[in-house]
Amino acid sequence: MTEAQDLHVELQILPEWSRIDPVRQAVGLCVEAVFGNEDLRDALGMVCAELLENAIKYGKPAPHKVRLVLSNSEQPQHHEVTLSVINAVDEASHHVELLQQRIGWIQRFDSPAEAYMAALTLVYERAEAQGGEGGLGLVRIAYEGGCRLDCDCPEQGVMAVHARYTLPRTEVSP
Amino acid sequence: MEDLIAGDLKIQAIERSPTILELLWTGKSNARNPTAVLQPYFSQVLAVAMERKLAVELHFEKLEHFNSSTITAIIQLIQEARTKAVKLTITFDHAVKWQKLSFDALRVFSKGDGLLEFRSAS
Repeated sequence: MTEAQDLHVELQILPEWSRIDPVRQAVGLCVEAVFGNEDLRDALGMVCAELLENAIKYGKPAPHKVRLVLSNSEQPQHHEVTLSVINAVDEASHHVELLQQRIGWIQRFDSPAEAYMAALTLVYERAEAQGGEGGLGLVRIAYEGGCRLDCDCPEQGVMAVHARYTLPRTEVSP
Repeated sequence: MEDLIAGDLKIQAIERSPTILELLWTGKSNARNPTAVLQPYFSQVLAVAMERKLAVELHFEKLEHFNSSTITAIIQLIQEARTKAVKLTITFDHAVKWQKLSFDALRVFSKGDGLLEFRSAS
């Protein structure tokens, strides 16, 4: 062991809604165990849940599985914690493009907070007209979760979304 | 006013005084489509509040987690309450970072009409 805080968790789950909350809790507890930081526990637990919700809503159903990787890379001044959710998608699906567009939309703002306020306002303005979907998940990950987002296709019919959190060493309990 | 129990979420309705209806949120709001359950319940809450001239207080201090679809449902409630001139107060625990970030952001809907207020519980 050379690193003071080492984190590597890989899970593979069926894309069923009931699996999300146990994974959210497990990810949060792993983060708290390694970094001793309750705020980060809640934040990355939420990020995990939002990413899994998207994967289950828009990915291929069972028997295809959803893979989650939680890892940490130690830098001189900070830790970079990465949470990746990888799932199968229909090859005709436009979900990857839509995700990339949404991430691009978030990045156009000066800060994630501004992007989040803009997204909330859009939800309010169309509140009467629409049902349950508000499209807040990704922008919430950026604002409340404090994560940078990107997504890619590691192979045909597979997509991966990565949320990266920079944790200053001063916020880590020894 | 009846309580709502839906999956991991419980909303307890308490008439704390002759003018206030409190909704105490506990557990987790993590359903796939929380609006399907919350919107009819909120409509009922607003109908009671209008009929009996009650203000509604939403208490989130004991809530463990909610998903972004629940935030959408809460925004819809804010919008509908304003349309019906029902006063809403949102109370949260500002010592819990996720609550502070989530609910402070909703202050964007305070429009100086006194119909939406926020209160920090700690």
